[in-house]
Amino acid sequence: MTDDIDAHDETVLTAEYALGLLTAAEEKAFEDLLAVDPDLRDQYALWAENFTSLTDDLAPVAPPAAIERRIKEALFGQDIPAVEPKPSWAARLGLLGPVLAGIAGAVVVLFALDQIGFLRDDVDPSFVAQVVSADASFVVVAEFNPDALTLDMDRQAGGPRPDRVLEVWLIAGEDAPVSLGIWPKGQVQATLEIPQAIAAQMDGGMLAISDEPQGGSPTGTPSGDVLGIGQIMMVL
Amino acid sequence: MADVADIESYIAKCALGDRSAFSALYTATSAKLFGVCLRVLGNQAEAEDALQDVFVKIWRNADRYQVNGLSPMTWLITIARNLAIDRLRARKTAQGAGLSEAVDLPSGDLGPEALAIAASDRVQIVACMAELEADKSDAVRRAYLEGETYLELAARYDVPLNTVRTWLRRSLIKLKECLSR
Repeated sequence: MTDDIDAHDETVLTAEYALGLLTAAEEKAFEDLLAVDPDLRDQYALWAENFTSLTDDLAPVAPPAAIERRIKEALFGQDIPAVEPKPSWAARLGLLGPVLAGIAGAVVVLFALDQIGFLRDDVDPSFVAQVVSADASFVVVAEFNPDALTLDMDRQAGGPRPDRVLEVWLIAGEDAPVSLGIWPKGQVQATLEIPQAIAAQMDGGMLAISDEPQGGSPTGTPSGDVLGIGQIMMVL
Repeated sequence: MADVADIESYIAKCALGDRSAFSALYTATSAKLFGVCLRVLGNQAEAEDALQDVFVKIWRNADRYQVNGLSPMTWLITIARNLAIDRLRARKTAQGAGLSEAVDLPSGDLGPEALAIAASDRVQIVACMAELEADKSDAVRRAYLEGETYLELAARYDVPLNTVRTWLRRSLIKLKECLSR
């Protein structure tokens, strides 16, 4: 294809491309050639070197100090090391108290599970959590079955607010919450399927349920009030 | 003062996600790149925004920079120049394609020899530009530093579009001939 272009045309076209003088269509056609023609790339590199030296006499100007910080924030966001160590998600949600209460309430959980028929005589371990609000006005008991990769949930107190939905989250270690799904509308008992990739993180993680707009959190992490949170514990 | 090898190594480390290398690269090159953005845009606030785009792009595209391609400062300045021109053109009109894509392309495979030639060319282009008639070299400069299109150049020199295109192309051929001497 490049054989069709005579040497002068090729030189000129490459220079025009480097200067940005081509139309959008010409530019696209040229880039298609560039992708397959190493000689053309060399030519482009030489023109680029040459034109760049037109900036040689431009004086360096130190940008305002704030710009560097702005750029790093844009790139690295909240990963920028803060002065204070980052509090855990559970602490940030202000719900460590209920978590501890939830652990103390493990017996209650097991009793509740027995009542709703979650506990059977199988010996396979499963994982349970009591997702509860500080004032116990919102209580969900959940059981994760690692073989079936299902999370069975039973809403024993409280529910979604008008025109809102419940979204279920897994908080594993210091990681940001991962959405496990939205509670099916109008159901007291519900089952969510848990992706294999997430299953390993359930043990020792925490479940949280938040109040969200229809369709779930728009931000990827809980955007509304966290209604309840609970530690996931293994039971035999 | 960071030399070419330092800058090359900062870019390579950026490609591996090394943030301290990014800081070093910023320290070494931000003033030059900001100078380029300011020259093209002629406006402090816009140049600051452009500089942010430039370093975001450098960080994200560092893995596309190849040691054997453009020299590191050429790669960086080309990113800065193209993004600033994109911004300038967006301000002026919706016309013209996105120049900033240009540096996304695989760079050439220049060996040390070709790079040495390129380095001597860099000095040469100033001399070669001087061999062009004043308005011709002025036009090349305007296209590069101000992103002027054929249409704008035609209006500036008050000649038909095809005329300006013809004489600019002739100038580019002359430039190339001079640079190849």
